[in-house]
Amino acid sequence: MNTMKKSGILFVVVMMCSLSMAFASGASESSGEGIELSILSHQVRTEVGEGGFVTGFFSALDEYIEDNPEIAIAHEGLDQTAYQTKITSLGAANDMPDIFMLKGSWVNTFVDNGWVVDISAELNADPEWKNGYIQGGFDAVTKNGKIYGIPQESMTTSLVFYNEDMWREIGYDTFPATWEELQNAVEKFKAKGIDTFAMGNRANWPAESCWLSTLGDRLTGTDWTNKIISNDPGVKFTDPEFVRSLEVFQELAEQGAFNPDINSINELEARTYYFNKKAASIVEGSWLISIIDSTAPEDVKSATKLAVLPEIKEGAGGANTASGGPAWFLAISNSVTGEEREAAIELLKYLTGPKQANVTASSGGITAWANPDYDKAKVIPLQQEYNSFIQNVRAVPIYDAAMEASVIETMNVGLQSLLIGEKSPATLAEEIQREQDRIQ
Amino acid sequence: MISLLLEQIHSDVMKEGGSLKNSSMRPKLGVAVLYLLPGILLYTLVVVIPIFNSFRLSFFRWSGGLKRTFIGLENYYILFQDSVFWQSFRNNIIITLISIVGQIGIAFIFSSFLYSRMIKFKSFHRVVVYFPATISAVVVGFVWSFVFNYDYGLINQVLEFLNLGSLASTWLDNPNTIIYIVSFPIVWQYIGFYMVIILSAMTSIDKHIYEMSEIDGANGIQKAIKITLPLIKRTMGVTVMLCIAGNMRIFDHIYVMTGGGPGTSSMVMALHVYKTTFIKSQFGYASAISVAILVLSLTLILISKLLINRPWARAK
Repeated sequence: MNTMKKSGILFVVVMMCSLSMAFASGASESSGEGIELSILSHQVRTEVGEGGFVTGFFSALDEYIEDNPEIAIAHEGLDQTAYQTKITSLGAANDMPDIFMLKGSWVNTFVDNGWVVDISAELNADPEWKNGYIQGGFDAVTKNGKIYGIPQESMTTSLVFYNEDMWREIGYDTFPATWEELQNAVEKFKAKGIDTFAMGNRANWPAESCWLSTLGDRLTGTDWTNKIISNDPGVKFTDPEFVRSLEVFQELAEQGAFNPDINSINELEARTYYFNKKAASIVEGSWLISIIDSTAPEDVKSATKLAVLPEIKEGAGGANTASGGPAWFLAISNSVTGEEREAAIELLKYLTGPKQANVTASSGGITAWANPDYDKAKVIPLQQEYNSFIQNVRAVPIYDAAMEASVIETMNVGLQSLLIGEKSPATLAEEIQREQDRIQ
Repeated sequence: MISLLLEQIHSDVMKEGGSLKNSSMRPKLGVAVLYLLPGILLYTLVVVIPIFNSFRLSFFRWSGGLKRTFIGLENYYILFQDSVFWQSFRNNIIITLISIVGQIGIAFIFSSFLYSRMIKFKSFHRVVVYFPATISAVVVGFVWSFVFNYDYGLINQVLEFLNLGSLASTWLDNPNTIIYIVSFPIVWQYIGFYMVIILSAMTSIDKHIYEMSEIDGANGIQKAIKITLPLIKRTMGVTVMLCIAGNMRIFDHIYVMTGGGPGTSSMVMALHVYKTTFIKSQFGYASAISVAILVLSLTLILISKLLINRPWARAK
């Protein structure tokens, strides 16, 4: 019994020691000479060469590392969904990375929680830098006159990519200009067993970001949209114009314009439908341009043309509009200490200014930096077409870049049900408005 | 309530697995406590303290930052009216009921077969049936979402091959049947887990009972239902409790296969907490939902314990 008791106590002591060592090791961070900056982004190195911005981002990052050998940079990249979870967790744990990517719809929460710092002072001190961005580039990250982030890309989220050959076969030389023409075309495609549009709404943002942002604005007008964004009590989601936009969207889905599995496949699988010619068109953002160039089959690539959603005559929002603008911003967090701040600002200039923009623009991205310097002739044909096409299109706000995150989540989830006829437009509008009312 | 459960488990284990009660090998109380101390400390730190913290946070409005506003019972008031939460609860109940019948039911049938004389290669069967329980739930979810895919999924391809193409459908898109579709992989994965538990309980049954019943002319099914089942009743009670507890917090499969969709038709409570926390940044409200999950799960487990053991019937 005595030996058993002794070895029992010894065992417990050993357990305690090993446990305490396990807990102690994770906490300390190496600091000392040299500045260390941590970056968390949803750009992953393996994607370099695929989209324009990713290539520009890493090119600028590598250039900064080369120019500043005494500064240690720790970069971590995740996909967008995992990124959102991680940044929220780090914020709640008060352990934000020094530089991170901020989505327009998170600004209110992040500013209220003190997770992002105001960089107006540095911007105003360098007018050449501040004025180099496109008009309205800072709108989504400006709160109470203070600017909290720098725009990186200016994308159009609502671009119609259509297969010219397939549309010509049913008698359309160009994409329909009016909504009635589109509805007629849907009937013709249905008769041939082809989906008019491919949609992959499993992640639930494509339907809202690529379709509803434009469709809604067409019917409500941009004034209404801006008032919703600024939480003006005079406008509501239950206003008849917005409800009508939900009705129009639902009617199109019920008519059979989309593939039947819209809610169970993601955007990548939807693109496969378009590439395999099971669908005649796809509505996505300008990021798809370089993806089509690198992964689409030759015949689809050469037949792809661009358009915007057709005109809806009853709408107040005009015809040639598409949701677009900067959606993601680079920002500095409250983790940045005094001496690190200057280095962080410098890094921001690299990542969002001409060093990044020139590379991005030449690999087919559209930057928020107004005039990137690149060889226009080397750009892929679809990109050149986009550059001239977009001159005549007025940009309207992207819903999930500007509206509050909880409102967007209710909208996105509800749209999945709306598109399969499980929820009425009026009910969905009420649910979204209820969420909007809860915003303080 | 918790002490009642602990007492139940203690008496179940003592009665079935052989009794150490009267053995001289039984360790002194002080030594036993010393051995348990590290585990209990770790458990308190990792499970008990966060539960109390969650309970405390559920009375605040908190978006994750430094500012917390005390709002009393408002989160719970919103929770009562939250149709998505009650839909998730309903979905959890459906999954649990299907799992009790599917996981435990099929596990019992497999155990009965494996315990009988008819089957050859018993260890091979055990390994194959148990194998899915060792795979990550995320992997299982992914593989099954490929199986259910409308375009190239295994099910639709097989139906086409059998000239039953008209039955091929968008399995993961139908909000009316999605919760049943999603239950498939959940049941499939954990049959082996319960089979192992039930099989080990069966080994404690005296074989002579079966021999005597065979003399009396009992066939296989009668032996299983009238002899085996009542004798392993305590173990079945434990498996039901594990099944309820596990399915009330099911997350990985649903997250990977549908993300709660289409809309909220396959939403489960744990996923609702996740979305409320990380997408809507409503940490206080999510804490209230977590507390509700705990209370509802414990209530269900208590009810199941009462139904299986019927303490009022035994007292007579």
